[in-house]
Amino acid sequence: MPSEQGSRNLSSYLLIAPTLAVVVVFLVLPLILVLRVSFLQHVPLGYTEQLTPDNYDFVFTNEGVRNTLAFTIETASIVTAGSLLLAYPVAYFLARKVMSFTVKTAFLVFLLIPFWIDFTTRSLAWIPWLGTQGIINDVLLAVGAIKQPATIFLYSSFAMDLVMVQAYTLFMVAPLFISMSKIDPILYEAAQTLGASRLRTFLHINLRLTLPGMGIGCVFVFLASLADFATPKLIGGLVTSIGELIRDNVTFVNLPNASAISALVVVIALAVLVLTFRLAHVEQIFE
Amino acid sequence: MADISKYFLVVYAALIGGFVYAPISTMVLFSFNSSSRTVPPFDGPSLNWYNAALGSAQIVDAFTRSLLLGVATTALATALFTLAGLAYRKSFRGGSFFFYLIAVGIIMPGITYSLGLELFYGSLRVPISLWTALPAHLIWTIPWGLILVRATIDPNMLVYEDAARTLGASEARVMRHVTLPLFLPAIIGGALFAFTLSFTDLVRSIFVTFPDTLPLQIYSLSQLRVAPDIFAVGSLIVIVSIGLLLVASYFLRGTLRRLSL
Repeated sequence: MPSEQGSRNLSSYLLIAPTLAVVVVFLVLPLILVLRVSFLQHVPLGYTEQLTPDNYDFVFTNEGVRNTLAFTIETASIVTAGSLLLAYPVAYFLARKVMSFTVKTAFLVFLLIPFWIDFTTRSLAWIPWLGTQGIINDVLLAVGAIKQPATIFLYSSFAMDLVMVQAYTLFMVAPLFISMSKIDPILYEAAQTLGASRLRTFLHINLRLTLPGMGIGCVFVFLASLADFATPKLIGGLVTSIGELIRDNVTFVNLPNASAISALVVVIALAVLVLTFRLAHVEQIFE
Repeated sequence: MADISKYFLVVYAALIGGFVYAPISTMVLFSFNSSSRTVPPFDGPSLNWYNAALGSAQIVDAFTRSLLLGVATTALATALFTLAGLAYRKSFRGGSFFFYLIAVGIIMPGITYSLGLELFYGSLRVPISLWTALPAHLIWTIPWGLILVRATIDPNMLVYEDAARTLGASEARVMRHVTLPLFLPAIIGGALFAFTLSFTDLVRSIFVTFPDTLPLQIYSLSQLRVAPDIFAVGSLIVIVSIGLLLVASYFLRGTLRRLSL
Protein backbone atom coordinates (compact mmCIF):
# COMPACT_ATOMS: atom_id res chain seq x y z
CA MET A 1 0.00 0.00 0.00
CA PRO A 2 2.04 2.95 -1.23
CA SER A 3 -0.40 5.52 0.17
CA GLU A 4 -0.04 4.06 3.66
CA GLN A 5 3.74 4.18 3.30
CA GLY A 6 3.44 7.77 2.15
CA SER A 7 1.29 8.85 5.06
CA ARG A 8 3.63 7.19 7.57
CA ASN A 9 6.56 8.95 6.01
CA LEU A 10 4.69 12.20 6.21
CA SER A 11 4.04 11.59 9.90
CA SER A 12 7.80 11.07 10.42
CA TYR A 13 8.47 14.49 8.93
CA LEU A 14 5.75 16.09 11.03
CA LEU A 15 7.17 14.52 14.18
CA ILE A 16 10.71 15.69 13.56
CA ALA A 17 9.81 19.13 12.14
CA PRO A 18 9.64 21.07 15.46
CA THR A 19 13.08 19.83 16.53
CA LEU A 20 14.55 20.57 13.10
CA ALA A 21 13.14 24.10 13.23
CA VAL A 22 14.85 24.72 16.60
CA VAL A 23 18.11 23.24 15.29
CA VAL A 24 18.17 25.27 12.08
CA VAL A 25 17.41 28.60 13.79
CA PHE A 26 19.46 28.21 16.96
CA LEU A 27 22.32 25.99 15.84
CA VAL A 28 22.89 26.18 12.10
CA LEU A 29 22.45 29.96 11.77
CA PRO A 30 24.73 30.79 14.74
CA LEU A 31 27.46 28.54 13.34
CA ILE A 32 27.20 30.20 9.94
CA LEU A 33 27.57 33.54 11.74
CA VAL A 34 30.78 32.35 13.44
CA LEU A 35 32.17 31.47 10.03
CA ARG A 36 31.14 34.81 8.56
CA VAL A 37 32.53 36.92 11.41
CA SER A 38 35.80 34.98 11.27
CA PHE A 39 36.40 36.62 7.87
CA LEU A 40 35.48 40.16 8.94
CA GLN A 41 37.79 43.01 9.88
CA HIS A 42 38.28 43.64 13.59
CA VAL A 43 37.89 47.21 14.84
CA PRO A 44 37.96 48.30 18.50
CA LEU A 45 34.77 47.06 20.23
CA GLY A 46 33.40 45.32 17.16
CA TYR A 47 33.92 44.48 13.51
CA THR A 48 33.21 45.97 10.12
CA GLU A 49 31.68 44.32 7.08
CA GLN A 50 35.11 44.44 5.38
CA LEU A 51 36.24 40.93 4.37
CA THR A 52 39.77 40.00 5.41
CA PRO A 53 41.98 36.92 5.86
CA ASP A 54 43.83 38.61 8.77
CA ASN A 55 42.13 36.63 11.52
CA TYR A 56 43.21 33.32 10.03
CA ASP A 57 46.62 34.74 9.38
CA PHE A 58 46.83 35.43 13.12
CA VAL A 59 45.51 31.98 14.07
CA PHE A 60 47.94 30.09 11.86
CA THR A 61 51.07 32.15 12.47
CA ASN A 62 50.77 33.02 16.16
CA GLU A 63 52.97 30.74 18.21
CA GLY A 64 50.84 31.15 21.34
CA VAL A 65 47.78 29.89 19.52
CA ARG A 66 49.70 26.94 18.08
CA ASN A 67 51.18 25.89 21.43
CA THR A 68 47.84 26.28 23.19
CA LEU A 69 46.13 24.20 20.54
CA ALA A 70 48.76 21.46 20.78
CA PHE A 71 48.52 21.41 24.57
CA THR A 72 44.71 21.30 24.48
CA ILE A 73 44.69 18.42 21.98
CA GLU A 74 47.21 16.54 24.15
CA THR A 75 45.01 17.08 27.22
CA ALA A 76 41.90 15.97 25.36
CA SER A 77 43.66 12.77 24.21
CA ILE A 78 44.82 11.92 27.75
CA VAL A 79 41.37 12.56 29.18
CA THR A 80 39.67 10.49 26.45
CA ALA A 81 41.97 7.51 27.00
CA GLY A 82 41.55 7.79 30.78
CA SER A 83 37.76 7.92 30.61
CA LEU A 84 37.58 4.98 28.22
CA LEU A 85 39.73 2.81 30.49
CA LEU A 86 37.70 3.78 33.55
CA ALA A 87 34.30 3.52 31.95
CA TYR A 88 34.58 0.30 29.95
CA PRO A 89 34.62 -2.15 32.87
CA VAL A 90 31.81 -0.22 34.56
CA ALA A 91 29.60 -0.42 31.48
CA TYR A 92 30.53 -4.10 31.04
CA PHE A 93 29.64 -4.80 34.64
CA LEU A 94 26.32 -2.97 34.41
CA ALA A 95 25.24 -4.42 31.10
CA ARG A 96 26.46 -7.99 31.50
CA LYS A 97 26.66 -8.85 35.19
CA VAL A 98 23.84 -6.91 36.79
CA MET A 99 20.54 -8.56 35.92
CA SER A 100 18.07 -6.52 37.95
CA PHE A 101 16.73 -3.47 36.17
CA THR A 102 16.30 -1.68 39.48
CA VAL A 103 19.95 -2.18 40.46
CA LYS A 104 21.09 -1.00 37.02
CA THR A 105 18.95 2.11 37.26
CA ALA A 106 20.03 2.75 40.82
CA PHE A 107 23.72 2.54 39.90
CA LEU A 108 23.32 4.84 36.91
CA VAL A 109 21.40 7.37 39.01
CA PHE A 110 24.06 7.07 41.72
CA LEU A 111 26.66 7.98 39.09
CA LEU A 112 24.46 10.82 37.87
CA ILE A 113 23.93 12.65 41.18
CA PRO A 114 27.38 14.30 41.34
CA PHE A 115 26.59 15.84 37.97
CA TRP A 116 23.82 17.91 39.50
CA ILE A 117 26.47 19.87 41.35
CA ASP A 118 27.73 22.66 39.21
CA PHE A 119 30.96 22.25 37.35
CA THR A 120 33.02 24.73 39.37
CA THR A 121 32.11 23.28 42.74
CA ARG A 122 32.80 19.78 41.46
CA SER A 123 36.30 20.84 40.39
CA LEU A 124 36.99 22.71 43.61
CA ALA A 125 35.75 19.76 45.68
CA TRP A 126 39.11 18.15 44.85
CA ILE A 127 41.02 20.76 46.85
CA PRO A 128 40.71 18.88 50.19
CA TRP A 129 42.35 15.90 48.45
CA LEU A 130 44.90 17.53 46.20
CA GLY A 131 46.03 20.62 48.13
CA THR A 132 49.51 20.87 49.62
CA GLN A 133 47.83 20.29 52.99
CA GLY A 134 45.33 17.90 51.43
CA ILE A 135 44.54 14.28 52.15
CA ILE A 136 46.81 12.75 49.49
CA ASN A 137 49.79 14.72 50.75
CA ASP A 138 48.93 13.86 54.36
CA VAL A 139 48.82 10.16 53.55
CA LEU A 140 52.03 10.24 51.52
CA LEU A 141 53.80 12.14 54.33
CA ALA A 142 52.47 9.74 56.96
CA VAL A 143 53.74 6.65 55.14
CA GLY A 144 57.02 8.41 54.43
CA ALA A 145 56.74 8.29 50.64
CA ILE A 146 57.60 11.98 50.45
CA LYS A 147 59.53 14.28 52.78
CA GLN A 148 57.66 17.51 52.13
CA PRO A 149 54.23 18.24 50.70
CA ALA A 150 54.12 17.84 46.94
CA THR A 151 52.66 20.74 44.99
CA ILE A 152 52.10 18.88 41.73
CA PHE A 153 48.69 17.55 42.72
CA LEU A 154 46.79 20.82 42.64
CA TYR A 155 46.88 23.66 40.11
CA SER A 156 48.71 21.43 37.66
CA SER A 157 47.94 19.58 34.43
CA PHE A 158 47.62 16.46 36.55
CA ALA A 159 44.76 18.01 38.53
CA MET A 160 43.18 19.24 35.31
CA ASP A 161 43.29 15.79 33.67
CA LEU A 162 41.92 14.13 36.81
CA VAL A 163 39.01 16.54 37.17
CA MET A 164 38.12 16.28 33.49
CA VAL A 165 38.18 12.48 33.59
CA GLN A 166 35.83 12.57 36.55
CA ALA A 167 33.60 15.12 34.90
CA TYR A 168 33.26 13.30 31.58
CA THR A 169 33.36 9.60 32.51
CA LEU A 170 29.57 9.47 32.70
CA PHE A 171 29.33 10.49 29.04
CA MET A 172 31.54 7.54 28.22
CA VAL A 173 29.60 5.07 30.39
CA ALA A 174 26.23 5.92 28.83
CA PRO A 175 26.92 5.07 25.15
CA LEU A 176 29.05 2.07 26.12
CA PHE A 177 26.24 0.79 28.29
CA ILE A 178 23.71 1.22 25.48
CA SER A 179 25.80 -0.57 22.89
CA MET A 180 26.73 -3.35 25.32
CA SER A 181 23.10 -3.90 26.31
CA LYS A 182 22.26 -4.45 22.66
CA ILE A 183 24.59 -7.43 22.27
CA ASP A 184 22.52 -10.60 21.98
CA PRO A 185 23.69 -12.95 24.80
CA ILE A 186 23.33 -15.89 22.43
CA LEU A 187 26.49 -14.69 20.66
CA TYR A 188 28.52 -15.39 23.81
CA GLU A 189 27.10 -18.88 24.07
CA ALA A 190 27.75 -19.50 20.41
CA ALA A 191 31.36 -18.37 20.76
CA GLN A 192 31.89 -20.55 23.79
CA THR A 193 30.27 -23.57 22.12
CA LEU A 194 32.59 -23.11 19.18
CA GLY A 195 35.52 -23.26 21.59
CA ALA A 196 36.59 -19.62 21.70
CA SER A 197 38.63 -18.66 24.74
CA ARG A 198 37.26 -15.99 27.07
CA LEU A 199 39.77 -13.52 25.69
CA ARG A 200 38.78 -14.24 22.10
CA THR A 201 35.11 -13.97 23.01
CA PHE A 202 35.78 -10.63 24.62
CA LEU A 203 37.85 -9.30 21.72
CA HIS A 204 35.68 -10.52 18.88
CA ILE A 205 32.25 -10.03 20.36
CA ASN A 206 32.36 -7.51 23.14
CA LEU A 207 35.05 -5.19 21.89
CA ARG A 208 33.99 -5.41 18.27
CA LEU A 209 30.31 -4.86 18.91
CA THR A 210 30.83 -2.01 21.34
CA LEU A 211 32.99 -0.08 18.85
CA PRO A 212 30.07 2.26 18.01
CA GLY A 213 29.54 3.02 21.71
CA MET A 214 33.27 3.62 22.17
CA GLY A 215 33.22 5.87 19.12
CA ILE A 216 30.42 8.05 20.46
CA GLY A 217 31.88 8.16 23.97
CA CYS A 218 35.38 9.04 22.78
CA VAL A 219 34.19 11.72 20.39
CA PHE A 220 32.09 13.27 23.11
CA VAL A 221 34.79 13.26 25.78
CA PHE A 222 37.46 14.46 23.35
CA LEU A 223 35.37 17.38 22.16
CA ALA A 224 34.15 18.31 25.63
CA SER A 225 37.72 18.50 26.92
CA LEU A 226 38.78 20.37 23.78
CA ALA A 227 36.31 23.17 24.53
CA ASP A 228 36.62 23.18 28.33
CA PHE A 229 37.82 26.60 29.45
CA ALA A 230 36.77 26.34 33.09
CA THR A 231 38.71 23.33 34.42
CA PRO A 232 42.10 24.55 33.18
CA LYS A 233 41.39 27.97 34.65
CA LEU A 234 40.09 26.69 37.98
CA ILE A 235 42.50 23.91 38.76
CA GLY A 236 45.06 23.65 35.98
CA GLY A 237 47.37 26.34 37.38
CA LEU A 238 49.33 28.26 34.79
CA VAL A 239 48.09 26.43 31.73
CA THR A 240 46.12 28.08 28.94
CA SER A 241 43.47 26.19 27.01
CA ILE A 242 42.04 26.93 23.61
CA GLY A 243 38.65 27.57 25.26
CA GLU A 244 40.22 30.23 27.46
CA LEU A 245 41.85 31.80 24.43
CA ILE A 246 38.43 32.10 22.77
CA ARG A 247 36.94 33.50 25.96
CA ASP A 248 39.74 36.07 26.35
CA ASN A 249 39.17 37.22 22.78
CA VAL A 250 35.46 37.64 23.48
CA THR A 251 36.19 39.48 26.73
CA PHE A 252 38.45 41.91 24.89
CA VAL A 253 35.76 42.20 22.20
CA ASN A 254 37.87 40.78 19.43
CA LEU A 255 35.01 38.77 17.98
CA PRO A 256 36.67 38.10 14.58
CA ASN A 257 39.69 36.50 16.27
CA ALA A 258 37.45 34.55 18.65
CA SER A 259 35.46 33.37 15.63
CA ALA A 260 38.53 32.33 13.66
CA ILE A 261 39.87 30.25 16.57
CA SER A 262 36.36 28.84 17.02
CA ALA A 263 36.13 27.93 13.34
CA LEU A 264 39.44 26.10 13.64
CA VAL A 265 38.15 24.19 16.67
CA VAL A 266 34.97 23.31 14.76
CA VAL A 267 37.01 21.98 11.84
CA ILE A 268 39.07 19.83 14.24
CA ALA A 269 35.85 18.67 15.91
CA LEU A 270 34.26 17.69 12.60
CA ALA A 271 37.41 15.89 11.46
CA VAL A 272 37.55 13.90 14.69
CA LEU A 273 33.84 13.17 14.42
CA VAL A 274 33.82 11.95 10.81
CA LEU A 275 36.99 9.92 11.26
CA THR A 276 35.81 8.22 14.45
CA PHE A 277 32.33 7.54 13.16
CA ARG A 278 33.76 5.95 10.01
CA LEU A 279 36.27 3.83 11.93
CA ALA A 280 33.82 2.79 14.63
CA HIS A 281 30.77 2.18 12.40
CA VAL A 282 28.68 4.32 14.73
CA GLU A 283 25.46 3.88 12.70
CA GLN A 284 25.31 0.29 13.96
CA ILE A 285 24.23 1.41 17.42
CA PHE A 286 20.80 2.22 16.00
CA GLU A 287 20.32 -1.01 14.08
CA MET B 1 36.39 -18.28 37.19
CA ALA B 2 33.16 -16.55 36.28
CA ASP B 3 32.69 -15.61 39.92
CA ILE B 4 36.16 -14.13 40.25
CA SER B 5 35.56 -11.83 37.32
CA LYS B 6 32.22 -10.84 38.78
CA TYR B 7 33.79 -9.95 42.15
CA PHE B 8 36.56 -8.08 40.37
CA LEU B 9 33.98 -6.05 38.51
CA VAL B 10 31.97 -5.37 41.66
CA VAL B 11 35.11 -4.06 43.35
CA TYR B 12 35.97 -2.05 40.26
CA ALA B 13 32.51 -0.49 40.06
CA ALA B 14 32.79 0.35 43.76
CA LEU B 15 36.17 2.00 43.14
CA ILE B 16 34.69 4.11 40.37
CA GLY B 17 31.87 5.04 42.72
CA GLY B 18 34.56 5.99 45.25
CA PHE B 19 36.44 8.06 42.67
CA VAL B 20 33.28 10.01 41.85
CA TYR B 21 32.17 10.33 45.45
CA ALA B 22 35.51 10.97 47.22
CA PRO B 23 35.53 14.71 46.44
CA ILE B 24 31.78 14.89 47.03
CA SER B 25 32.06 13.44 50.52
CA THR B 26 34.88 15.75 51.59
CA MET B 27 32.98 18.64 50.05
CA VAL B 28 30.01 17.82 52.30
CA LEU B 29 32.35 17.45 55.30
CA PHE B 30 34.10 20.79 54.81
CA SER B 31 30.83 22.57 54.15
CA PHE B 32 30.15 21.96 57.86
CA ASN B 33 33.56 23.34 58.90
CA SER B 34 33.51 26.08 61.51
CA SER B 35 36.56 27.76 59.98
CA SER B 36 37.12 28.79 56.40
CA ARG B 37 39.61 25.98 55.76
CA THR B 38 38.92 23.68 52.83
CA VAL B 39 41.78 21.27 53.63
CA PRO B 40 42.29 19.01 56.67
CA PRO B 41 42.22 19.21 59.64
CA PHE B 42 38.48 19.66 60.13
CA ASP B 43 37.87 22.40 62.72
CA GLY B 44 34.60 21.17 64.14
CA PRO B 45 31.03 21.26 62.93
CA SER B 46 28.95 24.36 62.33
CA LEU B 47 26.22 25.60 60.01
CA ASN B 48 27.99 28.92 59.38
CA TRP B 49 28.54 28.32 55.68
CA TYR B 50 24.97 27.19 55.13
CA ASN B 51 23.76 30.38 56.76
CA ALA B 52 26.16 32.35 54.58
CA ALA B 53 25.05 30.60 51.37
CA LEU B 54 21.33 30.71 52.09
CA GLY B 55 21.60 34.27 53.35
CA SER B 56 23.24 35.42 50.14
CA ALA B 57 20.63 36.83 47.75
CA GLN B 58 23.18 36.44 44.94
CA ILE B 59 23.37 32.67 45.42
CA VAL B 60 19.67 32.08 46.18
CA ASP B 61 18.52 34.12 43.16
CA ALA B 62 20.99 32.36 40.89
CA PHE B 63 19.75 29.01 42.17
CA THR B 64 16.13 30.00 41.45
CA ARG B 65 17.06 31.06 37.93
CA SER B 66 18.87 27.77 37.29
CA LEU B 67 15.90 25.80 38.56
CA LEU B 68 13.48 27.75 36.33
CA LEU B 69 15.66 27.34 33.29
CA GLY B 70 16.24 23.66 34.08
CA VAL B 71 12.53 22.90 34.40
CA ALA B 72 11.65 24.83 31.23
CA THR B 73 14.46 23.11 29.31
CA THR B 74 13.41 19.67 30.56
CA ALA B 75 9.76 20.17 29.62
CA LEU B 76 10.45 21.51 26.13
CA ALA B 77 13.36 19.20 25.33
CA THR B 78 11.43 16.11 26.45
CA ALA B 79 8.46 17.00 24.24
CA LEU B 80 10.72 17.68 21.25
CA PHE B 81 13.04 14.68 21.52
CA THR B 82 10.12 12.31 22.15
CA LEU B 83 8.33 13.49 18.99
CA ALA B 84 11.55 13.41 16.99
CA GLY B 85 12.40 9.95 18.34
CA LEU B 86 8.99 8.59 17.34
CA ALA B 87 9.73 9.65 13.77
CA TYR B 88 12.52 7.04 13.68
CA ARG B 89 10.22 4.04 14.19
CA LYS B 90 10.17 3.90 10.39
CA SER B 91 13.07 4.76 8.18
CA PHE B 92 12.40 7.87 6.15
CA ARG B 93 14.30 9.80 3.52
CA GLY B 94 16.78 12.20 5.13
CA GLY B 95 16.32 10.57 8.54
CA SER B 96 19.99 9.78 8.96
CA PHE B 97 21.06 13.26 7.86
CA PHE B 98 18.55 14.94 10.19
CA PHE B 99 19.81 12.81 13.05
CA TYR B 100 23.40 13.90 12.56
CA LEU B 101 22.29 17.50 12.13
CA ILE B 102 20.56 17.37 15.53
CA ALA B 103 23.55 15.56 17.03
CA VAL B 104 25.80 18.48 16.05
CA GLY B 105 24.36 20.09 19.20
CA ILE B 106 26.34 17.77 21.45
CA ILE B 107 29.38 17.57 19.22
CA MET B 108 29.85 21.31 18.86
CA PRO B 109 32.46 22.60 21.30
CA GLY B 110 30.38 24.49 23.86
CA ILE B 111 32.29 27.75 23.88
CA THR B 112 32.20 28.00 20.10
CA TYR B 113 28.47 27.45 20.14
CA SER B 114 27.93 30.03 22.85
CA LEU B 115 29.90 32.54 20.80
CA GLY B 116 27.77 31.75 17.74
CA LEU B 117 24.56 32.26 19.65
CA GLU B 118 25.86 35.55 21.06
CA LEU B 119 26.67 36.76 17.54
CA PHE B 120 23.21 35.60 16.43
CA TYR B 121 21.42 37.56 19.16
CA GLY B 122 23.71 40.52 18.55
CA SER B 123 22.85 40.65 14.86
CA LEU B 124 19.13 40.55 15.70
CA ARG B 125 19.59 43.08 18.53
CA VAL B 126 18.00 40.68 21.02
CA PRO B 127 19.02 41.69 24.55
CA ILE B 128 20.69 38.90 26.57
CA SER B 129 18.43 37.57 29.34
CA LEU B 130 17.85 34.35 31.22
CA TRP B 131 15.66 33.09 28.39
CA THR B 132 18.23 33.67 25.68
CA ALA B 133 20.01 30.73 27.31
CA LEU B 134 17.01 28.45 26.75
CA PRO B 135 17.77 27.65 23.07
CA ALA B 136 21.38 26.87 24.01
CA HIS B 137 20.12 24.40 26.61
CA LEU B 138 17.64 22.83 24.18
CA ILE B 139 20.27 22.36 21.47
CA TRP B 140 22.49 20.74 24.12
CA THR B 141 19.90 18.42 25.70
CA ILE B 142 17.61 17.30 22.83
CA PRO B 143 20.22 15.11 21.08
CA TRP B 144 20.87 13.07 24.25
CA GLY B 145 17.18 12.25 24.63
CA LEU B 146 16.88 11.53 20.92
CA ILE B 147 19.82 9.11 21.08
CA LEU B 148 18.22 7.29 24.00
CA VAL B 149 14.81 7.08 22.34
CA ARG B 150 16.24 6.03 18.99
CA ALA B 151 18.40 3.36 20.64
CA THR B 152 15.23 1.88 22.21
CA ILE B 153 13.58 1.29 18.85
CA ASP B 154 13.53 -2.26 17.61
CA PRO B 155 11.55 -3.81 14.75
CA ASN B 156 9.15 -5.57 17.14
CA MET B 157 7.68 -2.24 18.16
CA LEU B 158 5.82 -1.85 14.91
CA VAL B 159 4.59 -5.43 15.22
CA TYR B 160 3.08 -4.64 18.62
CA GLU B 161 1.47 -1.51 17.22
CA ASP B 162 0.02 -3.44 14.28
CA ALA B 163 -1.29 -6.12 16.64
CA ALA B 164 -3.10 -3.48 18.68
CA ARG B 165 -4.53 -1.93 15.51
CA THR B 166 -5.73 -5.32 14.26
CA LEU B 167 -7.48 -5.79 17.57
CA GLY B 168 -9.38 -2.58 16.86
CA ALA B 169 -7.46 -0.03 18.91
CA SER B 170 -7.67 3.57 17.70
CA GLU B 171 -4.43 5.40 16.83
CA ALA B 172 -4.69 7.37 20.06
CA ARG B 173 -5.02 4.19 22.12
CA VAL B 174 -2.12 2.55 20.28
CA MET B 175 0.01 5.57 21.09
CA ARG B 176 -1.05 5.71 24.72
CA HIS B 177 -1.07 1.99 25.56
CA VAL B 178 1.57 0.51 23.24
CA THR B 179 4.01 3.02 21.82
CA LEU B 180 4.61 5.39 24.72
CA PRO B 181 5.04 2.66 27.39
CA LEU B 182 7.72 1.05 25.23
CA PHE B 183 9.58 4.37 25.08
CA LEU B 184 8.94 5.39 28.68
CA PRO B 185 12.33 4.35 30.14
CA ALA B 186 14.17 6.25 27.40
CA ILE B 187 11.91 9.29 27.81
CA ILE B 188 12.39 9.37 31.58
CA GLY B 189 16.13 8.87 31.16
CA GLY B 190 16.30 11.64 28.58
CA ALA B 191 14.31 14.01 30.79
CA LEU B 192 16.56 13.32 33.80
CA PHE B 193 19.61 13.87 31.64
CA ALA B 194 18.15 17.08 30.21
CA PHE B 195 17.59 18.52 33.67
CA THR B 196 21.07 17.49 34.81
CA LEU B 197 22.78 19.02 31.79
CA SER B 198 20.76 22.22 31.90
CA PHE B 199 21.01 22.79 35.63
CA THR B 200 24.81 22.52 35.58
CA ASP B 201 25.65 24.04 32.24
CA LEU B 202 28.43 26.61 32.31
CA VAL B 203 30.25 26.54 28.98
CA ARG B 204 27.29 26.90 26.61
CA SER B 205 25.58 29.56 28.72
CA ILE B 206 28.58 31.77 29.24
CA PHE B 207 27.97 34.44 26.56
CA VAL B 208 24.16 34.24 26.37
CA THR B 209 22.91 34.44 29.96
CA PHE B 210 22.08 37.45 32.10
CA PRO B 211 21.81 37.58 35.06
CA ASP B 212 23.95 34.62 36.07
CA THR B 213 22.61 31.13 36.64
CA LEU B 214 24.03 29.18 39.59
CA PRO B 215 26.97 27.63 37.69
CA LEU B 216 27.94 31.01 36.24
CA GLN B 217 27.55 32.70 39.62
CA ILE B 218 29.70 30.14 41.40
CA TYR B 219 32.28 30.28 38.63
CA SER B 220 32.68 34.02 39.03
CA LEU B 221 32.67 33.78 42.84
CA SER B 222 35.42 31.17 42.71
CA GLN B 223 37.64 33.52 40.72
CA LEU B 224 37.81 35.69 43.84
CA ARG B 225 38.02 33.14 46.61
CA VAL B 226 37.39 29.51 47.55
CA ALA B 227 35.36 29.34 50.76
CA PRO B 228 33.19 26.58 52.18
CA ASP B 229 29.98 28.45 51.31
CA ILE B 230 30.47 27.19 47.74
CA PHE B 231 30.77 23.70 49.22
CA ALA B 232 27.57 24.30 51.19
CA VAL B 233 25.67 25.03 47.96
CA GLY B 234 27.05 21.86 46.36
CA SER B 235 26.20 19.81 49.45
CA LEU B 236 22.65 21.14 49.54
CA ILE B 237 22.20 20.09 45.91
CA VAL B 238 23.47 16.57 46.67
CA ILE B 239 21.40 16.17 49.83
CA VAL B 240 18.20 17.55 48.28
CA SER B 241 18.57 15.51 45.09
CA ILE B 242 19.20 12.25 46.95
CA GLY B 243 16.12 13.04 49.05
CA LEU B 244 14.01 13.78 45.96
CA LEU B 245 15.21 10.59 44.30
CA LEU B 246 14.27 8.48 47.30
CA VAL B 247 10.81 10.03 47.35
CA ALA B 248 10.42 9.58 43.59
CA SER B 249 11.55 5.95 43.66
CA TYR B 250 9.06 5.29 46.47
CA PHE B 251 6.22 6.59 44.33
CA LEU B 252 7.52 5.00 41.13
CA ARG B 253 8.30 1.61 42.67
CA GLY B 254 5.30 0.02 40.91
CA THR B 255 6.48 1.27 37.50
CA LEU B 256 10.07 0.23 38.23
CA ARG B 257 8.98 -3.29 39.09
CA ARG B 258 6.93 -3.57 35.91
CA LEU B 259 9.86 -2.35 33.84
CA SER B 260 12.22 -4.93 35.26
CA LEU B 261 9.98 -7.78 34.06
